[in-house]
Amino acid sequence: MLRFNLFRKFVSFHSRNVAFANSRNKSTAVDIEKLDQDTTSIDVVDDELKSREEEIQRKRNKSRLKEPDRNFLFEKDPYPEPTRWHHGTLKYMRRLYGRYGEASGVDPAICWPVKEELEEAIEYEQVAYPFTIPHMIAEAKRKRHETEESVKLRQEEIVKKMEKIEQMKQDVYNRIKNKETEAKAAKERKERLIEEVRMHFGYTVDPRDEKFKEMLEKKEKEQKKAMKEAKKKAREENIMTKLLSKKADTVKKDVNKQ
Amino acid sequence: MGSNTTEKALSMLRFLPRVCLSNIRPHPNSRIRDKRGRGQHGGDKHGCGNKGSGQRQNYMRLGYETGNNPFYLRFPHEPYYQRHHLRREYPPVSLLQLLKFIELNRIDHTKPIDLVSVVNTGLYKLLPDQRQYGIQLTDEGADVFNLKINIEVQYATEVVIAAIEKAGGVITTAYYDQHSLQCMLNTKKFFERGVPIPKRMMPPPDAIEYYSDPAKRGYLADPDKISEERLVLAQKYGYSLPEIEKDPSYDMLTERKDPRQIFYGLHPGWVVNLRDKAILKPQDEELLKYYAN
Amino acid sequence: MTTMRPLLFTIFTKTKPFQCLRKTSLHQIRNSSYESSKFLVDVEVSTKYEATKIPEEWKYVERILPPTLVPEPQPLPEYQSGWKPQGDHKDSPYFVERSRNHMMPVYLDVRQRGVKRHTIIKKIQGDIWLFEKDLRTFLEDLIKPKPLRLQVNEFARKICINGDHVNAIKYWLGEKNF
Repeated sequence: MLRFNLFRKFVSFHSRNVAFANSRNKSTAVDIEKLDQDTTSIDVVDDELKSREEEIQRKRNKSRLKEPDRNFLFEKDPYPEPTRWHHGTLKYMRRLYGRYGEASGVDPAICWPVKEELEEAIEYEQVAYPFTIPHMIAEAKRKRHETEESVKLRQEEIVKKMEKIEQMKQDVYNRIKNKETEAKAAKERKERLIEEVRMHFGYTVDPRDEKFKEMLEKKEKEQKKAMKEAKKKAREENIMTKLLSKKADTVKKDVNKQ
Repeated sequence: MGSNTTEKALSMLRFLPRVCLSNIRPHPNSRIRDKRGRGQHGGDKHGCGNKGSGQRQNYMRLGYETGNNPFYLRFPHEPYYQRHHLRREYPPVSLLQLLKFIELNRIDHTKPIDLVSVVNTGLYKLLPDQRQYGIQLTDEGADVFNLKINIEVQYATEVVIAAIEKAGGVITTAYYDQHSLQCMLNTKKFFERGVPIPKRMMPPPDAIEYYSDPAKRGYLADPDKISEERLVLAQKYGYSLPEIEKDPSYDMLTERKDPRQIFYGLHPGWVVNLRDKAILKPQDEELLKYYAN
Repeated sequence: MTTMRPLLFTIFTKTKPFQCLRKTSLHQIRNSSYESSKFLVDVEVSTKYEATKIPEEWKYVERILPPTLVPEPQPLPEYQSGWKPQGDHKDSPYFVERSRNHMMPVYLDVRQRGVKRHTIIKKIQGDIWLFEKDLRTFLEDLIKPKPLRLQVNEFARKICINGDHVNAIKYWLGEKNF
């Protein structure tokens, strides 16, 4: 409510000045138009006219904006007189030239890299892009060939091994079978021994008893000996058969010769 | 009556102060008043409970699981996203989209098309900061594509190349490094920087094979081999290769950029001034050597 | 044209007070800031250049500058891309205006990480209820036996439909020359 009253007072205060302001504006408007016509027809060489023109331009500026902001709005150099530290940097001055061209008053020669900057750029490129294109292409090709070759070799290896796979499977099965049969045979032998020992004692004795164990050891030894002798015998028989067969062969040969 | 109110309004306008932050207010109910946390509105312990590490704001470190081996330490090596931050991305533009751009006059197909022309439509956004390196032309619309264009993209598949060449056009794949991309995306902003046009740098080692491959129409490939590949592709996809030599727009179709050039017709080292509409060319030997290298 | 800015010599030399306002170079230099740049007074500038104003070259520059307004589409008898220009609507009770990019104002609104899909038709002028009636007959026939959930926002001049019927509606609007 208070705000509205204040507003009303504000409006009423200004409404008194409206008429005056209007008349003032109108008079200046007429004057400006006239001046415009004058200026367009005659070249402004007169200092007085120039200063008057400038004053009119100043009065025309009702924006109450800061000078740099207004210049920026009208696409002019915002700081014709440098005020901040960065206004002296190459980067800023290049931007000024880029945006405002000749009107900025900047020498375009600064746009290109200075000696130090050029040296830095060349050094950077030498480090970042050290190889030439043909070299890079050759390298890439070589790497690709290498990986392809290694893959190819591995594949060939696998193929070779795949040919033997059935045989390898069979070998594995046979090995398992043999192991099983041996284990079974050993177990049977042991069972038989235990039976023999039990028979020897006559009554059921715990296999873990010492006496039983002693007997078992004896029997095992006897069995081993028997097996060894059997093996030896088998070997001797083999040798005999071989010798006999050889002799037979030599006799045959002699007979053939004759 | 109407003129009275307008007169009044205009007179008011003449004397009211400039609109600024101190004499405007937001939409009603657009700003919610902050609840200060007093009494029943989040007061007393302010959501922190009683005693303990919670109320005393003495929290355990993130990921800690009160002693047992935490999740982020259980697995020694999870290389799923290894080098993901180095992989290049090529946001797609389909042939149908390209066709639409041309038909709606967004892109001029009587001139060579490149990344700059597509970005200037305002309908394609490229973000070099996200490792995006250019346009990938996809094959949606390959069956209806019938325009003769000279296009330069960063990646294209065989089907796309075939579609464009069948229509009588020319496609090239070229690489632009990040710095050049930034210049291309906003040309006005770039020229206002007042720096000379940079030279385009070479592709990295893992991309050089692609851009030197004639089958992919790379810009570093041998032009003779490219014409061979054109024939091969035509035979593969079963269309008769149009003879570009006899085409009236042969010059436009064969216009290609130098590997060090970013923009058509503008050489590295030139300074373009939009305000004065002038192009400044350096005359120093060193600079010329640097930019021509 | 070759005049140097006069006050620089006095302000921007190494020993002047402005230097103290500037941050020291102990922190990271970012190339996007003025701190990474040299001062003009500290370097020797002697590059020779020539300023040219050749119209043929300037044409290349104009080519790469973006347009400021949306261009009008080429007038063709048929568009291969499937785009249809707005035709005669013959005093129909309603009218659907095209967007500033000459496209139909039918949009897909996807919410809740892909769970909810709404089709929105905007810029409907005239009798929106009649438009809704005609649209309903078309869409209900299309998606039967499923129900059509449709909302008419008369004040915002838009219709919101549950589901993804963008292409169907665009086809229907095209048939009506909108």
